[in-house]
Amino acid sequence: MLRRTLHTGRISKNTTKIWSDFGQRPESLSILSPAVKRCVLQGTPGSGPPSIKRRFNRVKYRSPEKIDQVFKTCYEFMESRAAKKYEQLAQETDAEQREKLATDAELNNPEVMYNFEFSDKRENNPRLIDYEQPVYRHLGRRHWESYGQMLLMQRLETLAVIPDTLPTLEPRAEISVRFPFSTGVNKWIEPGELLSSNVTWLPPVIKIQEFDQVDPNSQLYTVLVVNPDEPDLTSDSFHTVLHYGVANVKISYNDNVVDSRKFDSNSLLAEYLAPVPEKNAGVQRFAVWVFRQQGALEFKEPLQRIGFNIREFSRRNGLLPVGAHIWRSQWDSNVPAVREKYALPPGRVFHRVRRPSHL
Amino acid sequence: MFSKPTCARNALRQMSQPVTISVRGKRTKSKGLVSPALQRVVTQLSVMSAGKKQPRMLKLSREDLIKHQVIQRCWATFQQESREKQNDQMRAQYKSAEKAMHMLREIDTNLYNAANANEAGKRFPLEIRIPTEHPPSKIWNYNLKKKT
Amino acid sequence: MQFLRCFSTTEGCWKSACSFVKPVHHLVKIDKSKLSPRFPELKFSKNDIRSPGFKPVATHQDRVWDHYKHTVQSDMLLITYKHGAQVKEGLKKREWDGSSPYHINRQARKPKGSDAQLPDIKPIKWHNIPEVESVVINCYVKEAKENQLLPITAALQLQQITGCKPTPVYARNDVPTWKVRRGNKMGAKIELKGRPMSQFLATLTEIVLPRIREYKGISNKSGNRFGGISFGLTSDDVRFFPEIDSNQDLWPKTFGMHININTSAQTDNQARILMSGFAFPFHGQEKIK
Repeated sequence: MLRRTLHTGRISKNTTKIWSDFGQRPESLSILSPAVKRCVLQGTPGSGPPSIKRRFNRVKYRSPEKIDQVFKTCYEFMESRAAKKYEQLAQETDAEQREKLATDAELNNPEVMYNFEFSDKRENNPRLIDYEQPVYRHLGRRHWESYGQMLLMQRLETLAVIPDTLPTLEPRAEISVRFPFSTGVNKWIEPGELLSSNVTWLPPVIKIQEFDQVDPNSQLYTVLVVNPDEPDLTSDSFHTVLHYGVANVKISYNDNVVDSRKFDSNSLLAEYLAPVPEKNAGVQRFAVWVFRQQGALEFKEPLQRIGFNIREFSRRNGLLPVGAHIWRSQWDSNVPAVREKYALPPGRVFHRVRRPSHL
Repeated sequence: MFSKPTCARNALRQMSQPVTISVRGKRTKSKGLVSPALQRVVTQLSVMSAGKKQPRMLKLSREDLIKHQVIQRCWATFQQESREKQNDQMRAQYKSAEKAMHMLREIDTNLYNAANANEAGKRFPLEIRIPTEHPPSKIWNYNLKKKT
Repeated sequence: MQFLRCFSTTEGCWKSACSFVKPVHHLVKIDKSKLSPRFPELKFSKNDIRSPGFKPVATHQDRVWDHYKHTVQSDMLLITYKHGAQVKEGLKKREWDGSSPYHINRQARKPKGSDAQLPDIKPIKWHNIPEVESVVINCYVKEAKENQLLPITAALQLQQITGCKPTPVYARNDVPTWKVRRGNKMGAKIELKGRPMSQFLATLTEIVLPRIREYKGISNKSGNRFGGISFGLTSDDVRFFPEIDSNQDLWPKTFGMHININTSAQTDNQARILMSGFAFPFHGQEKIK
């Protein structure tokens, strides 16, 4: 039935090869490896699919019967539908609609599907996953929402980062945090992970992946790292300490790691203060907050680290929180060494057991 | 737990009795314990159970997985389009019927009443058949007479 | 109680004695099963080929559905068309008139002439043309109270006929006069939808019903008022199903069954017109409303 419709339909006759004309299309919409591309689009060669590395497995592998013939028909069908979307796109002026149409036109392209499915989404290679393309942004957001976003929000909620630092978060950008490799942990930190002070003694690398349609040339970001668990003995409570603050950071969709190349000393609100929890003060949370700015910010006097009020700060500067992250630290045997590196005084030692006064 | 004399007595008793050595693989139960009716039900249960009947999971290579997904999406799109087309056709049919009846009411009341009569007891003819892919052995019944 | 977080107190002392649901401070819906690192293949949806639960659905043409779409549907729209039809309101509960102060908060009265409220009957338009939604086959074996093996055979019979997995039916109440005990397995049932349903309907109308001797058709009195038609097949009729007919010697005993056809029609009259479109014969006097 499908075949009948396709063969009698008018669309299949005047199909422009919309997905295969790479004169104007970006390279990231095509499979990088020529062998794999040929296998997907022209059919599996006799030696087996090239994505299987071992020759033994490749020869043993059997494709489902007639999958290549059926795929060819379906590819033409989907391509004709994509051509319609591109026609609509040429006449559309509304930016949001344009983004949606451009996404829909490429969403069912097997090359795009292959690239996104089988390559690293976080440390993306712009020749494979180019987040400047609306379709990859759409796929990236869907992938993030299926795991990373839920994990982050669960950790923020269970560790009470919301509402202890900011009242709530509507996540819009994916934030990933890692520490320089010299500290020994060479991976992106999972939200809420308990890290040794040896790992965290150098400033973290923060990656801000935007999926929304923003203007990368004018949009500026602020990054704050705060610790709401610093003991305050005078009021028998805790106060917030600002550990790291960077403003006026400009990122792009693909090159979006906040490190020293992205900002100078003018935009550094507060130098990185390594987490040095004191003994028996409990586990401390280090919340990373990323904000979108409305314009460039200027700071005359240095910020007050101890007793830093992040709600007041974001309200006064008109900052929109778009993403967050969290790691935790507690006192361990490396803390004195870290204190020595930063020339900090030796920390206090609290009593091991803290009891309520009325008991 | 036991006092020494009882232990010795037990050992003596064991020695005096003939020793039975169980041989592995020898059938100890007699064969005809299960009645044929019960055996049939056992067979029936094994026919119904899902064990061992599930085919092995398909493992597709990366290329084939993408091809499969494209085929699935194509089928879904095609289904959706034909569904929408059918829906539009039904809507058009309803609208034109409505228009025609509206016109008829202004032209002729009797015809309008006849056309708008309740058809609650109506049936499709008994000769209706669900079409098959292949034609029947007798293609057309030229001498068909309606049964009364 | 103090709600400020103190450095000198432990968390345990401001735990309340009762458990309470903690407030959530965000609007993101969290699916815990997706967060667990265990069983990654179970996170795929069921229609993904990588999921262990994947079942290919559109494996063959559904000719009953095609017949409905091409022939029956447009005819149903014409047959049920009524010019200027309005929504016919069903019986609803009656409010008290408020003449007594005791009427406040009193439950509304039952509808006149019915125990329950009845749904409104809406005119048939292009979006609510009646169609067959599901077929439920119910096989209750009376003799199962003496022989507990019979429900198994009945379930297998249903599976052979329909090709789907039946679910067992248990006795719901103790009925001492019939020697029925609560919880005993008394038979099996299946709900058919989609292609298995089409297959079953086609077999029924093309093979089984024509072979039944002196079969008059489904009674015009059958129906649940809301578009569900039911009829029965005796244990002898069931033998005409080709799966059972082809190996008679394996089936010394067959079981009769009830077949309920659920349609999206709003009245039984519409449901009967629809069923006759699939070549089901009807007989008897029909009450036309």
